[in-house]
Amino acid sequence: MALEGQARAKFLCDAERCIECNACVTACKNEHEVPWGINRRRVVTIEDGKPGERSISVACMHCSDAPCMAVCPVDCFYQTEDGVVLHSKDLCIGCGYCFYACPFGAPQFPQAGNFGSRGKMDKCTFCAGGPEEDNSATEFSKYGRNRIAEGKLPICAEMCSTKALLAGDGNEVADIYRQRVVNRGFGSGAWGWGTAYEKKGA
Amino acid sequence: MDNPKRENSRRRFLQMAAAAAPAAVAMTVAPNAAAEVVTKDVPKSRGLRDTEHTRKYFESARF
Repeated sequence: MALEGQARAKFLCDAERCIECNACVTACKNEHEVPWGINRRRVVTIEDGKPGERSISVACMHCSDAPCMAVCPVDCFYQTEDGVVLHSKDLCIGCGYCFYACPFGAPQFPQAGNFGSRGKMDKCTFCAGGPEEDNSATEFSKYGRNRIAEGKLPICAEMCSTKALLAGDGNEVADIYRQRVVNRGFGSGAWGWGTAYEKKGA
Repeated sequence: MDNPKRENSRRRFLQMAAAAAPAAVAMTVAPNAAAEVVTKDVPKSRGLRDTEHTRKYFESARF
């Protein structure tokens, strides 16, 4: 696998495979000891119980041109060389602008105090920790485990039993998904394809 | 009628205040500058790597 500074860390959820088991959500909460009331990852089901039901696992998508970074008034976000969007909880003021800007609802806020104060923002880190020293106790307490520094990949994807959720180097993830499309022999297999191209049942 | 001692102390106070003001400004600016350096230097992690662990994961996803 040639990284050579060009790779970008990407998540991809194969809606044809996701069975809504929520193992990714549970694994994430357990791995990072995420506090009550915060879900860094969620499984969203469309047309639940009806024909055409699909589920997708959603978290921070680590956008290339991240809107959360653009709106943050204290500039607490930064992007790693792999394209992972991280933030500093020391700089975050909990204003919630990133939550309004994010199309995936990724930023989460603990109810930290009285009078509706939100507390510091928390979100998926692609298991890459934060600005503190890699695998330090401080980093773990603020951002969770840094599996990337350990030479691993996000726990949600590694735990996925059907391998619906893929994570890692974008080239590798795309290659796996492309092979699946070839094996299935239809369309892109992407959820929403039929809606986008007005082909019912596609 | 004026008390020369009192006037002298007032003068000294003003001199000290004039000298202390720039120092106080420098003290307030310095922490901000340091914080800015810290935020720009943050991404120190080695990032995604090609390890035996990641290879096994990608292999397990190919089915």
